[in-house]
Amino acid sequence: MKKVFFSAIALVAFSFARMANEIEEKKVEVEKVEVQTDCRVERLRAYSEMRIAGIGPADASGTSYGIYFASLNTQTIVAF
Amino acid sequence: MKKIICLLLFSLNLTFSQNSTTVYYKVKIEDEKDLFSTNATLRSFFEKAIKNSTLLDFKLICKEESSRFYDTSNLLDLDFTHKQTLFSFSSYSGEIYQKGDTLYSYSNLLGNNIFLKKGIKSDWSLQNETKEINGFLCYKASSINKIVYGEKVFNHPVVAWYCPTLPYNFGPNGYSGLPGLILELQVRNVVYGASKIELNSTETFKIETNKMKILNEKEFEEALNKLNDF
Repeated sequence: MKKVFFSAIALVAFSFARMANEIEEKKVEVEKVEVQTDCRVERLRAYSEMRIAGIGPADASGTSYGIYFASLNTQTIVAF
Repeated sequence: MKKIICLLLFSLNLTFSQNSTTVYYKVKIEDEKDLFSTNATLRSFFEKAIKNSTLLDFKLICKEESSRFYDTSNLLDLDFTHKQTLFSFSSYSGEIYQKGDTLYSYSNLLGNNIFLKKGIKSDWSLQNETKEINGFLCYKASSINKIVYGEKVFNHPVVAWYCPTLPYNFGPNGYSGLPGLILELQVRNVVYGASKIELNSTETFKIETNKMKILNEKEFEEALNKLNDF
């Protein structure tokens, strides 16, 4: 009887722990998606403004990616 | 005795043929007041690049029929984003080899050993104006760098100072095709200027095109578009 009782408690405990982990994992994923969307917009905006100012595609891509990674670094610090 | 003289002449010839000329370049990015005035982030990176451009050092090794232009800067104090934007505002995307009339430009951004293959510039207009750079008499040549974006066409001025007494048709950052080595080059607001010239340098390099992933201009443009999600 004791064995059955402890087994039931253990099962319930593991289920809660797994559910909690799943919720936590989902939260982290949502944060990452938000960060990437904002920085991508910033990258595309920088690229477009550089091209409008007469900068060539290779240089505009290089600078806009620099700004993109700078944005990711800043946003990551805010998110966590 | 004849054999010894021949051997001596042969070894002398070998020594000269192995020698190269090495030119060291510094870079200056000039400000353009209204450039990126509508984007504070972009303007801030541009202003930092203007300040950090004094840290840039490049080397051009010239051999009889080929050259290698590459970065030798010590940028340990700069983070990745500031290095990346500094190079892009200087219009430098990676090392450049010239073999005959063909350029092989590496793209740090695309990586994966990808090189853009294209011909050297040929639309130069030679002028009589002269100036002395590092003790060498240089002549002025001008051209246009055409940039097209949608319906907009930009014609950025290119001014090169080449030295006919240094008989190489090479120059910094992939600009070449003049009857003498380019010691100073200005494209729009970026100036590459020779700070030191080593004649009879022992520096050398190999162009291993078989190890490069070579793209033509159209393929390169497509690769950039893919990178930019267009």
